[in-house]
Amino acid sequence: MRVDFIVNGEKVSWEGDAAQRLMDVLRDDLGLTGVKCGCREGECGACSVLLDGRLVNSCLVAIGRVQGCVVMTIEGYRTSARFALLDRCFAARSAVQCGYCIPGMALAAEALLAVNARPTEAEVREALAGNLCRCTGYNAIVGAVLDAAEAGDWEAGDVSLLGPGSSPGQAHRSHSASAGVGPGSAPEVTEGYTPRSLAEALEMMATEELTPYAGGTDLMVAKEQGRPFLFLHEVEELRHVVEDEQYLRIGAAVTYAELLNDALTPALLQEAVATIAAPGIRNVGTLGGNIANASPKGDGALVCFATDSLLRLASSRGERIMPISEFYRGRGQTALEPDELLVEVLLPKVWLASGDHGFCKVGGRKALAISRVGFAGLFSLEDNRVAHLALAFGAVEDVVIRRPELDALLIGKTVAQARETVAEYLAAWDAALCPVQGRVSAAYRKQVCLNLTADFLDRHLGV
Amino acid sequence: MHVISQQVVKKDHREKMDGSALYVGDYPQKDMLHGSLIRSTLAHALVLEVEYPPLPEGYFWVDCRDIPGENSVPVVEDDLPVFAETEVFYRGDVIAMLVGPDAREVERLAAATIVLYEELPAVLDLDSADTVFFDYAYGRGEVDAAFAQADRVYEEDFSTGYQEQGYLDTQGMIACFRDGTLTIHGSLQCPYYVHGALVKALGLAEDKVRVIQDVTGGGFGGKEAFPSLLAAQVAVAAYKAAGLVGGDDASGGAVGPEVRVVFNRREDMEYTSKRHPSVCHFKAAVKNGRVTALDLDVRFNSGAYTTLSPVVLQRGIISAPGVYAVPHLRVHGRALRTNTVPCGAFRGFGAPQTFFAIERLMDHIAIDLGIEPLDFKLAHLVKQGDPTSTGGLYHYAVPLPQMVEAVLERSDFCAKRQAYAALQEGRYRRGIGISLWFHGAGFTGSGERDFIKARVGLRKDAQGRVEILTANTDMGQGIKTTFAKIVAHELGIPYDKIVVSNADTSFVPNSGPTVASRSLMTVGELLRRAAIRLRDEWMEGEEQLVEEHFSEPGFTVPFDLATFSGDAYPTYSWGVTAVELSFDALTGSNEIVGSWSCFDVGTPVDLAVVVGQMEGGVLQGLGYASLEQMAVDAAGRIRNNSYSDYLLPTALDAPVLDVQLHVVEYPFGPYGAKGAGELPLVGIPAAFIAAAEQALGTDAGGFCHIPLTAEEALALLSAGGEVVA
Repeated sequence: MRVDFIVNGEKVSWEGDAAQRLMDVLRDDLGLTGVKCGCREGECGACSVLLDGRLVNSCLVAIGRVQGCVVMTIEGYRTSARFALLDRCFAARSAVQCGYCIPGMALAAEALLAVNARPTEAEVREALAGNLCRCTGYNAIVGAVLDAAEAGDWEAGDVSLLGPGSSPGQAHRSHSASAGVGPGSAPEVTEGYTPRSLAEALEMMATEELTPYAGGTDLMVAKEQGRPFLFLHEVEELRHVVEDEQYLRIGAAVTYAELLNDALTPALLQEAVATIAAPGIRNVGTLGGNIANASPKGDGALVCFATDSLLRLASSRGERIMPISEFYRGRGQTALEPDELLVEVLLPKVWLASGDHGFCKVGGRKALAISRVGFAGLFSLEDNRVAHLALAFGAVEDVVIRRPELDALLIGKTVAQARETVAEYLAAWDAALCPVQGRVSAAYRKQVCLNLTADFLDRHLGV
Repeated sequence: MHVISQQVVKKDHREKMDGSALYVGDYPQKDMLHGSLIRSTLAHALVLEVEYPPLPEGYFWVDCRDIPGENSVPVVEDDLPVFAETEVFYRGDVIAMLVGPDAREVERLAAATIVLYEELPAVLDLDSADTVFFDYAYGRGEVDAAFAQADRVYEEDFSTGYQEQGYLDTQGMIACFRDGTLTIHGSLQCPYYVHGALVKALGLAEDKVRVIQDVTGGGFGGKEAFPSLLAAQVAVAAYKAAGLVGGDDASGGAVGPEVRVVFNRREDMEYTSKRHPSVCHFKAAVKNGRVTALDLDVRFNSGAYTTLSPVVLQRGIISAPGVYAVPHLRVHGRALRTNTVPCGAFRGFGAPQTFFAIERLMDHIAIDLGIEPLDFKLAHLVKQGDPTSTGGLYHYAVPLPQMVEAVLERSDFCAKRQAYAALQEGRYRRGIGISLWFHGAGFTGSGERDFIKARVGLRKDAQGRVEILTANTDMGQGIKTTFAKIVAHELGIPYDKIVVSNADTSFVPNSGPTVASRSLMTVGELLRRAAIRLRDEWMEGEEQLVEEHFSEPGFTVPFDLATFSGDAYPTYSWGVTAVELSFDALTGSNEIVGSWSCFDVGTPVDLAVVVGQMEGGVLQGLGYASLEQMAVDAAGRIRNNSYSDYLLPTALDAPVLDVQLHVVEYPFGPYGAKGAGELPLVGIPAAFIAAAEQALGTDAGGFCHIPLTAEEALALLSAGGEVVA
């Protein structure tokens, strides 16, 4: 695939495997080794760059995804006045120890300050949460970013317009992939496609077996697939958040970051999305990808289960809408036909608007955590009766668990009746849950599910 | 504050900040050969045969038969081979290396290589281990009599798990053999350790081996011994490559290609050295409310080879009685072999394990006696002039009481400790704990005098710039900066006139390894003396070179390793930390509410550098206590081999780390400086677990191990729950 993009103000034409990591292209082909390689799976942030002004882990971005995009690495950023200020503030606190995380930290700080010129300490920590530092304990780095916010006028100017030579796109370089000319091994070049419309995307899906690429943050971790990518970031029909009378309608390629910033996003979904990974991953990861990836650990998919969301699937043959509960066929398995795309998620508004919700993600730590147990619940009371109850559990079995027939035990009951039925309800869940053993034990998973359920009911029924 | 403490811009700040610093993985790879290691997939086996796939031209393998010198990497002993010969002793033991021009093809060929084994029984845990690598014992007084006369005897087992250094810059080396000289550069702490290993493995003269430190992205001990092994493997490959595929330069000299091995994260996490898991069986005799005797048994899991285990164990057992004056003492330590990854150095070097045990034991005794643990500890503190565990002396003031006061005030410890002692209900349960510790400054025993014999140099050019010549490496801890400050201060010239390059054995003398928190205290003092001499001999416009050599401070009681007697360390750095935790009763997850520390590392030669070291060490200690979990499975495999499975604290997991400094000057360190880098980590897990015990309401007979998992916490928080093993 030929990819044309701009790096640090310079036009680059690159030719090679569309599935190559942006990080490898930047480091190996363009010599931009300020982009550090710490893990190749989005877990350390050392390879952070700005992609169209947003922080991303360049190891989790396929090069085909940057077609037509603007990339800034530390090599470009360091020529800006904004960097100079950060540099002074990091120096003044001796915030640089081994230095390996620092270019990524600087770009994460820029990404924050560009949209929030006066962040709180908590906001700085959140913004840096995807960038591991093993040396400093973070105090000095967080302090330096706060100092820089204090000292500078971060609202003025846009760093993406700075860069070498104030007129981007003047210089031009052509590159081809450096990898794979070993004897006996023809370089494996995977093509990639960048449709501009849904119709075009569906046409491509109908013609060839493709892997739809929305955010890529799961695909690039696995990265063991031979099928070409279908890059969806330019398909406008997949990027809306709108509401109608019944549903909140979210395009499948809407990113987590966009959801967090959208006033229409319900609080339950906001809470869930805020727990996902870290800013650099939320900037590209999508709700549609989270659902279609068919992991039982998807925090966004969990909310869709609790809300009984519908999914709109489309192919060149037509469209269908199905409840998310029917979408999964087991771990990693979905109802999608080979030529079909998930195009939209429809969240029913009724219970989101009228009731209360609960959400809890149990991960190993506060950011960059894979769910060990996920809990999402909706509860509505009308005329002192339980009008609605919907619980969903993630990361417990092979598919997110949603059991309306258990919730029916309490629905329709008065608060007093419901209280008396709580024990039976919990026992029913106890019997229904069959957790898998993994990084944590099955017994732990079940206990946490039951604890969170009991606590949720306690809060709403006052048991 | 001493003028030397004033913060300056670090020497290495700019190149790291702007991304221009080249770490080993950053060098352009054009024309380099890539190496991929073929490792044992069994924990213990005989290697019967290695079947390589057909290799394209330009590709070759390297194994023990290609080693021109000895197949042995010198660490302390010589049992670690460069490449395994007939027997492999852990899952990951290196049998061979595949080398060639294309990295992906090399990986493919390595994966297609088949090793035939005869599997042998494997020992995977400390309790099954029966091969004792090292066995030490020492003591004083009448231990058996004290136990016989005790009112109460306390006896507990304490255990600690692996800890992975987790430096962001993975291990890597690039070597080439040209004109009879082997040149290697990479991520490393100790250039002369690597140099010694290559002289031995290649059988070359010392001046035919050149070792250069690349910018090193963190070490924490993980790049003390391991780089010698990787360097030897890569160097043997470069040596073979020079013969096989090398060309000639214009003058007819042989020019071998560069050979590169840079680990990926999983390889680095799974197969490089970590902190030794430990089991401590500790017994205390208590009479009239005082500990009269300690009988301490320490076992460390060495893994498959001895590597640094003897010295790690020495520091561990010397530290075992903690900061307490106990008249009767018996200490026994063993490092045992298992068929697991060889353990090695990690910040604290054996002391975190034993300090965890002694601090927890003291907590538990106090709680059983109905005494607040901190009061009980303060009543037993050593003081200046007291004998150390090995019959040396605490020559200098022991500032722990003042440091405890400082921590109590900042943390509001007493009020919190009392409030959280009440029965807690509701979703979140809090606890606070405190621990006290020391870290012996510099090498254990007489290593400086007998083995290292450090030398440093200062080279002045005609323009009056002064270059610092030491083998000490900056991995981020700031030694370039602090060395430069010392020299500039004594010479009375600007800091930016001081040049500090990365260590290169072709022109720096052997000032010893960058380990044991010795560099600033010991080498820094040599530089200070060298700078004074240069100042005295200063000739404007001339090139000048001065050297300085180590000499033992005269005040110490010489240490005898055979009897474990004398001053194991000339002086001590001190630490006190309180940790506050909050547990979620629904999930067992914990949150670190805060940590408040006071450290005495003597005079800080740079305040910001020292505070940065303290903060970073505290967070590593907090991680060690709970978040950082790593285990070996039934096949001898480490599954937690990625950043998603071995969790380091993120900026959101770390609290604001409160650090104060207390200064007791050490007259033989520069301006009164003592060892600093390792200290802050050492005692943190004990404070963490003390806080967990209070929060979880298990004060009596509580936690004796790290890491603490959410599962265990939840089991305790659930009514009638029992701790899941």
